[in-house]
Amino acid sequence: MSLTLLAQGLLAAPEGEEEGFVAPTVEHSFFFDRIGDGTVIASVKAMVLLILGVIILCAFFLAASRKAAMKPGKLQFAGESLYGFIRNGIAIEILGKHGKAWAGFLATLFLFIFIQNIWGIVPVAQLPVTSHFAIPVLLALVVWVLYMYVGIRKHGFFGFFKMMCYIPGIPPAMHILLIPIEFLSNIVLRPFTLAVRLFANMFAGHMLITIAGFGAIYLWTSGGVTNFLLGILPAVGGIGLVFFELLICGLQAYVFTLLAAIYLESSLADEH
Amino acid sequence: MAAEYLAELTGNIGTVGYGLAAIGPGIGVGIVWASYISSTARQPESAGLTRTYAFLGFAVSEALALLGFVVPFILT
Repeated sequence: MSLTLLAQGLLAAPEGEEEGFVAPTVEHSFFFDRIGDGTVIASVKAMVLLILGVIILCAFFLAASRKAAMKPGKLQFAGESLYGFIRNGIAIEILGKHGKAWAGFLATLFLFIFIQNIWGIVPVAQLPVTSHFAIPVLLALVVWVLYMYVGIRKHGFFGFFKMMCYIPGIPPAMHILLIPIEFLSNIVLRPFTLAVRLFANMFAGHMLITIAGFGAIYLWTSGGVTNFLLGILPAVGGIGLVFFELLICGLQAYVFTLLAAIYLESSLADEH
Repeated sequence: MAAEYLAELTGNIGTVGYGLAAIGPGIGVGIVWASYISSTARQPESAGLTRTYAFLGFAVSEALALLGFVVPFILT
């Protein structure tokens, strides 16, 4: 009996074709807005959040570094901890002696991605800017251009491609197979996976929270005590997902920065 | 004799496809972290040393599941 009720609740009122649960679509607030006559423009909300995030980031670090003292205050300590985390944990650990030179870029990259991810779980905002594919693509392109430029400057054009595609010390016939694979994985797929990883994680997380929210609201507004009680499940699950997203936001920003550092290191490395 | 349907399924077969696409990366990511945990348990001082490779392996195996995730957007 109760199982049937549960199933009915979960299947969201099968009677009444038009009245059933309407899942949120990909278009609900993603990618583009439509103005009056159906013209497609960039999502206004995402662009506002993007600019706002950059302003917050700049303001925070300007404030944190303004009155730099030997004995740091709270704000300065927070700023230096964030910067030091990337500088020591990623830049110096992976890039070694080049680490200090790249620490600024990597810390900026990390904090920019982190703050644009965090918009997804900030109440009212609730839209991760990085779930718009253009933003991760731009970031991945910046990393790609940088590590190509750095590698070509250090090893020369042919030296760099030889280092990227040619594995020494294997039977000569294997090069027919391995050079295209190495080229594909090191030059083509690296920026692609970098962009897709960030985009897909934030996008999927945002859709999960949205579906949980839609489900809870649908059950609560469809009337009946059972539906109301069942609506608690997605609501609680949605809150849990928000905390899970907090973890994912930090993790994806960290992974992106780490991979950027590893790619830069592979370009800066001496020839093997 | 007309076929009798016990239940009707609606929706997109692509969801099943994504489920299949997620099996391999799921196992792969699990192996990566399991190895990282066991290596850290055996030799705690190597944790910082192997973390980079753990994240690298995690990112590379996860990429396949993410490719499966974005394929519908590319194909439509």
